[in-house]
Parts: sequence; structure tokens; C-alpha cells
Amino acid sequence: MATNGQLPEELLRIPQPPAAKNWVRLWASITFALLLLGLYEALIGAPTEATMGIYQRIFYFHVPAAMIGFLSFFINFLASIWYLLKRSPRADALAIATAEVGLAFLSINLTTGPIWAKPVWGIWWTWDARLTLTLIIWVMYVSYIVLRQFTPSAELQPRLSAALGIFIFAAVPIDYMAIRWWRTQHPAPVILGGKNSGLDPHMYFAVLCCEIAFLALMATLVRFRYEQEIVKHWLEARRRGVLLTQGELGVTDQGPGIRS
Amino acid sequence: MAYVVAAYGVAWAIHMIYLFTLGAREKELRQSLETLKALGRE
Repeated sequence: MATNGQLPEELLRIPQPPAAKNWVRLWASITFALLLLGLYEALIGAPTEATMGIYQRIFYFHVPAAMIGFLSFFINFLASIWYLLKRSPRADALAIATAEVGLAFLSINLTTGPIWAKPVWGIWWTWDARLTLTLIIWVMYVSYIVLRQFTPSAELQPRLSAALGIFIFAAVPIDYMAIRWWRTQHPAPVILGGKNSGLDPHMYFAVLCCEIAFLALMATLVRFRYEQEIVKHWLEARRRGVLLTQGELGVTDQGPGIRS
Repeated sequence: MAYVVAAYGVAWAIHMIYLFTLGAREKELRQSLETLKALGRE
């Protein structure tokens, strides 16, 4: 196949935007149904906790948001390694998609936490290990996205992002283990927390429903954002193709350009 | 009750803000596609 100037062969095979969006309606419907089920279980289905009362119901969105956020960052970490090894634009698209979606979920975790803390602890915030580390991780992923926006070079941008994505993920397992390693104001883990932890089976079911709903939402958002990034790459490559065929870059090229 | 409503409201609002961001980006991409098609026709 013709190289078409700087047009990567992989991008030439990427479908145009309208064809790529057929899955959206189905996925969005499934996700919406799961979210409704999760919301029902969290607010009505699950029993009221004895000590904290109704405030404990914030748990059903607070904890899954953190878990799904961290899962997104883990995928970002893998995609960053994949990018550095293969220089694949797909890996770069997956990395930015998971960073953004992970940040949205972590934002939910960070805002619902203080709203839960105020009536239960009497304070909005305390600088304990778990809370501080989560805030630091949030700031680092904001920096990751800002860095991408302000890196002008198209070649340097994904490489820098990938390197940063690998390094900042190191804080995520430390944050996960913070409430196991250190004494914190934040409660000890009730899920995967050892022999003294646990939940009422119906509460487990409610958490599971919210986890699955958030997982479906994450998958939908990541796929949507991933396809946008792929289309952006595709458009940039095509634009270069058009410019090249028109000789606007001072290069003669016989590539396909835009046919439609 | 107000705290629970506030927490779930904030979660919903964050998702909506992100969805609007995605929608705006989608619109921008479609406009770029149209521009590119027009460029190709010239």
C-alpha cells in the first residue's frame, strides 16, 4: 500500500466516524439499565446500616467510583507501556481515554467522601494517608491531561504522556494499601480486607450492582472517548494527506486524499 | 438525607459534565470532518 507521505497505514483502515458510532445506543441502554438497578439497590434495596444510618448509603457510589477509577488508571498504565513498546496510536488513544474516564470516577470518589465524612466524622476533610494520596493521584492525572494539551509536538505528546502515565500509576497501589499499612481516619477496608472485615450479603449485592453498573459506564465512556481520539488521529492524518496532495506543504504526493 | 442526595447529585453532575465534554468534542470532530471533505472536493 502507498505510504501517502506521513499517513500511517494503520490509520487508513480506521472507519469514518458515523460507522464507528453504531454501538452507542445499545451500550448506553444497557449501561443506563444497570445504573438504575445500582441506584435502586443503593438507595432502597440495601438495608440501613446500624451505626451510620442513612449516610452509609453514600458508600455504594463512593467505593465503586474509586475501584473503577483505579481500574481505568491501571488500563492507562498498560496502554502507556504498550505505546512505548509499539508506538501504536491505538495505545495512545486508549491511554488518554482511560485517564480522562478514571479522573471522572476519582472526582466522584473525592467529592462523595467529604459529603459522607461531614455527618459521620464531623469534619469534611482530614490529611490522613488515604485521603491525601487520593488527592495527590487526582492532581497528577489532571497534570497528565493538561500536559497533553500543552505539548505542541504530535510525536512528543504521546511519548511524554506514556512515560508520565507509567510513573504516576505507582501511587495507585500505595493508595490502595494505605488503609491496610497505616492507621488512618478513613475506615479499614470492608471488601477484601481480611478476616475481620465483611458486609451484610444484601449490602454486598448492592455494592456489586453499583460496581457492574460503573464498569459498564466506564467501558462505554472509554470506548466513546477512544474512538474520538482515533478519529482525531485519522482526521489529522487525512488532513496531512489533503495538504500533501494539494502540494501545500511543498511536497508532491500521489496518496489517496479525500475521496468522498 | 440531604447529604445522601448531595452525594448522589454530585456523582450525577460529574458524569453529566463529562458527557457534555464528550458531546462538544464529538461536534468539533464532525465539523472537522466536514471541513476536510470540503477541502478534498476543492
